[in-house]
Amino acid sequence: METANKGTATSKLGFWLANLFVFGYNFVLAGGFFFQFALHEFPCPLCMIQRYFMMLASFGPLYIIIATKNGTINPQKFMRGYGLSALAAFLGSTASIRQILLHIAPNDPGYGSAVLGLHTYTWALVSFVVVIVFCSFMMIFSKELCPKGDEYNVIATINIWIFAVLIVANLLAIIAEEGFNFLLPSDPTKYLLFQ
Amino acid sequence: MDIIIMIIITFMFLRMIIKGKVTKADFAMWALIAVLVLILFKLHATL
Repeated sequence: METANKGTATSKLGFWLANLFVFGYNFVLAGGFFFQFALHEFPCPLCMIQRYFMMLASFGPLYIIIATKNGTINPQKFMRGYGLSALAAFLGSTASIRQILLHIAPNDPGYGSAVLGLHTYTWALVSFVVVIVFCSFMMIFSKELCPKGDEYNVIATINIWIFAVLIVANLLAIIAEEGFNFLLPSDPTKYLLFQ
Repeated sequence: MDIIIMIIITFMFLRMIIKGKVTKADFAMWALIAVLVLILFKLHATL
């Protein structure tokens, strides 16, 4: 294991930005559950595909946080993590763009309810674009923003365990929604496991 | 297929978090999940 160096102000900023990334998608995934269980809006197959890519995008900052905890973080790992996140966000944006185009005709009400005038799949595209831009800047300034290895703390632990709980909750939710079928119906209206 | 994808995602992330380290197997699982989700996307995209 490499020796952890003393963190600087910018390396601490880099570590907290990785935590902010995970927290941001924790918030989005929890928001998805609010729509699913509080508003009884079932996530469609395209919605689920966007969720999967959000989870894959979170792999990057999680990798950086874990490497920081171990003291093995270096600029190469830092950039590899954000490269994976940018790739996942790009792939996720293709699903968002398709769903937006499916409902782009005038007077189409869209799928599900809107938040601040935009549907959730449009917000998903916004989040993917933000992630791509964010990852670009993190990679441009990787030398300055790469954590040194001593920044890890209990808040990061709480953050990644909230993410873990949301992942398990998504697994249970999709088992209930898909039941014993190979694919989700294109317009789900019930939990197929309980039918 | 969604359940298969979510099982792999859950296994990958819990393994990373509980073991406290990221190995080549995790990167391989990341790539496998990405391919499976793209196949799922194609299966649903039948404009």
